[in-house]
Amino acid sequence: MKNVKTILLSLLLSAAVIAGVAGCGSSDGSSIIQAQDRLRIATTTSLYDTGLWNALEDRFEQEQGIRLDILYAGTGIALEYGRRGDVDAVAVHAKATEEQFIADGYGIERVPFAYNYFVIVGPESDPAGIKGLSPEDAFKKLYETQTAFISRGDESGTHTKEKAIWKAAGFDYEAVTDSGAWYVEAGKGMGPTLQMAAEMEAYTLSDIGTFLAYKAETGLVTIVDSGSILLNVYSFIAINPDKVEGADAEKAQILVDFLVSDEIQQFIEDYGKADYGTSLFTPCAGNEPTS
Amino acid sequence: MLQDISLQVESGDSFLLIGPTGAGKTTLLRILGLLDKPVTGDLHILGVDVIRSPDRQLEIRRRMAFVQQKPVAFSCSVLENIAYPLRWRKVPKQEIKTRALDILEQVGMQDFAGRSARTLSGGETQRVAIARALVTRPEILLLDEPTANLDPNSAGKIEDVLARVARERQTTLVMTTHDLAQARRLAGTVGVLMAGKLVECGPPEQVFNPQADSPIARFIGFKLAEQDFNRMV
Amino acid sequence: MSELWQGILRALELLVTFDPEVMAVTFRSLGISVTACIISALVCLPLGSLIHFTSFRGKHLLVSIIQTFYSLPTVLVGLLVFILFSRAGPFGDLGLMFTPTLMVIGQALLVIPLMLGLIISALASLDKTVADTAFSLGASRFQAGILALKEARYAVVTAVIMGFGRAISEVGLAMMVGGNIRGFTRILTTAISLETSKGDIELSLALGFILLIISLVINVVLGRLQQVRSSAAH
Repeated sequence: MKNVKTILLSLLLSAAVIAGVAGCGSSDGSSIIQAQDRLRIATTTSLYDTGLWNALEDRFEQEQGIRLDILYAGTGIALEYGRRGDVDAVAVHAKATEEQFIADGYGIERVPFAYNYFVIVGPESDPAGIKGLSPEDAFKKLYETQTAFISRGDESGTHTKEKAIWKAAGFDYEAVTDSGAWYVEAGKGMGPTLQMAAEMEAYTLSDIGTFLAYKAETGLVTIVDSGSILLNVYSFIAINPDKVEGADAEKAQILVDFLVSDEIQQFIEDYGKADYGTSLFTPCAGNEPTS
Repeated sequence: MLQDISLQVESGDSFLLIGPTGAGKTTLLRILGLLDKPVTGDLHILGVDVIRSPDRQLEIRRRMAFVQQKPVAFSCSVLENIAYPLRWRKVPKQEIKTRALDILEQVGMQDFAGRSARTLSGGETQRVAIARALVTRPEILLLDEPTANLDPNSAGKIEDVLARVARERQTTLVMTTHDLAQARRLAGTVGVLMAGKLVECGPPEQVFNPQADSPIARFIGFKLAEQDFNRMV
Repeated sequence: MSELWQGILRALELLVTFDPEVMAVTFRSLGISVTACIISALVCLPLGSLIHFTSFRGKHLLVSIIQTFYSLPTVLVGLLVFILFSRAGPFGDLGLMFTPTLMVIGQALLVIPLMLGLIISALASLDKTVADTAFSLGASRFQAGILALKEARYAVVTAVIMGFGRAISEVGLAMMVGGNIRGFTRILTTAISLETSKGDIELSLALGFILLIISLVINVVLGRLQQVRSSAAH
C-alpha cells in the first residue's frame, strides 16, 4: 500500500523534474521565462508551408542570436495578433488589408521582401476546360459550369486575392458563396487546402510557392498562370509600439534588415531551386514589384 | 429530539447513561463530546462556556476523548492508529511510541502493534479504539457502548482498564450502555434517558430501586428481567 | 493501406532512433502537463478538503457547477485564457502569450474543476465516522482534512492521474495559447494536428504512438490503483 503510493509519487516527481529541465526550455536551450528575449512573428500559411521560414529561422537565430518564434496563422488572425500586441511583426500578402492596417496605425511600414504569383491549379484532366484563359474568365467559366472549387475561406491573403478576382470578373462575392455546393470554403491553410483540392479533384487558387512544395503529393497541375491580377507580394510589417503596447519594434527592425539584406535576398531567390527546378520566390528587397 | 436536559457531571465521576434504543443516548453523548451542537441551551465543559467561546472548542476537545459505537480504524497499522491523536497534539516522537505500546499492553493488544488495523475483528477494533482514546490521557472520556461487541473476557478487561483509569487518573467517565449490570458495577451516577428526556438521575442504588409508579420502573424491571433471562439461556 | 504501413514503419524508426525533434516535443508535453497537474493538485487537495468538510448554503450547487466544468471544451477555455493574457487583455503586461508558462496555467485551469470534483467525491465516499473520529480525538479541521485525504488516498491519486490524462491529451487550449511554435511551444497534440494538416502522416503517427503509449501507461496505473483500492477495503 505504502509502496505503491511511494513509487507513484516518486515516478511523478522525477518525471516532472526531468521534463521540466529537459523539455520546458526550447530545443535551442533557452529558459521559458525569457519571453522578452524572443521575437514573435505571425506568418501567413502559404509562406510557412513552403518551408522558407524554417530555413530562414535557423539562420536568423544563429546569426543574430535572437530567438525567433513563428506562428502559423492565416493573414486574418496574424493581423489580429498584431493588433493585440501578441506578436511583434507580421509577414503576410494581402496588400489592401496591409495598407489599411498601416493606415490604422498598427503597423509602422510595409516592406515587401519577396513575391511570386498565384496560380489556378486543378486536376490534369481540366474538367472545366479553363486552361489558357485569363484568371477572370476562368472563374467565370467555373461559376457557369459549377465545377468544384476550393476556397481558403479564411480571410487570408490568398482568400483576399480570390475575392479580388471574382470582383474583377464582375461577380458579387456573396452570390458566389451562396451559389451551390460546388464552391467549398475550406477554412484551412494553403497546404491543407491543396490536399483537399487533390482529394476532391477540384480547382483552387494557390501561391506558386506552396503549390510547388506540395506538387508531388497532390498531383495537381497549373491551369491558369498568367494575368497581372495574379501578382502575389509578401510584405513584412513591424507592429507600431506607439499604438500597440509591448511590441518590440527594435528586434523587428533587425529581422527586416535581415530579410532585405543582399545575402538573404539571394537565399530567397535560391530557395527551392534544387528541389523544384525553379525559384519559389523572387526577392524584391523592399520595393514594390510591378507586374 | 432531546428535551429539557439538565445535567451536571462531577469531575472524576463515572456517569453511566442508560435508556431504551432511540432515546437519544448517542445524541446526548455527541453533544457532550462537541461533535454536534445543541439547538438551544448552555454547555460548560471543564469550566469553559463552549457555546459562547467557540474558539476554545479545539482546546477543550483535546482534553477529552470519544469512542464511537461502531469505531472505525484508520487504514494504517494498529500502532499508527494509536499514534494519531498524540501526533495531533504534537507529542514528541519517542514519547508517542512508548505511550502507544504501553496502552496497547493495557488493553491486551500488544501483539497487534504492526498489524493493519483494517484487518481486525469487531472486538479487536473496539479495543484499539479504546486504546486510541486512552492514550491521550483525557480528563473526560466519553464512550458509546464500549463493550457492546466484546466477549465477556475482553469486556471484563476493558472494564478493569476503565475503572483503573477513573480511579488513578481521576478521569471523568461518561458512558452509555445497555448492560445494567455494568452500569451498576461502574457507575457513580446513573442517568436514564427516555424519549429524549432525562427522567432519572442519581446514584445506582436509587435508580435501580425505582418507585413502582415511576416512569422508569417498567424499563428497569423489563431490562433486569431480560438480562436475567439471557443469563439463564 | 500501404501509406499507413509506411507511416507505421517510419514512425517506429523515428522512435527507435530517438529523433531529437520527436523527443523534444514529447518531453515538452510531459513537462507542461505534469507541471499543470502538480499545480492543480496543490490547489485542489486543500480546497477539496475544505469544501467537503464545510457545510454552507449552496454547497450542492457549487459541487454541481464544478461537475459541469469537467468536460468544458478545451477550445473554450483556450479562448478565455487567450483573451485574458493577450497583450491587449487584462494580464497582457505579463507577456505570457505563446509561452509554455501560459500553457501550464491554461491546462491547470482546465484540469482544476475535474480534479476538484473527483477529490470531493473521493472524500465524500469515505465513511462519515472517520472525520467524526478524528475530531473526537482532538484533531483540528486541518488535521482531520489531512487524515481524510490519506484515508481516501487511492481515490485521490486516481483523481490526480485523471487530471493529468485530460491535460496531456488536450489540443484546443495548447494551440490557442501556445501557438504551436516549433522548438518552443509545440507539444505532442498540437504537433500531430499540424503535421497531419500538412500531410506528414508518418511524423503524426510517430507522435500519435507516443501519446498512445502515455495514455496506456496512465490507464494501467489507474487500473492497478483501483485493484489495490478494492483489496484494501476488504
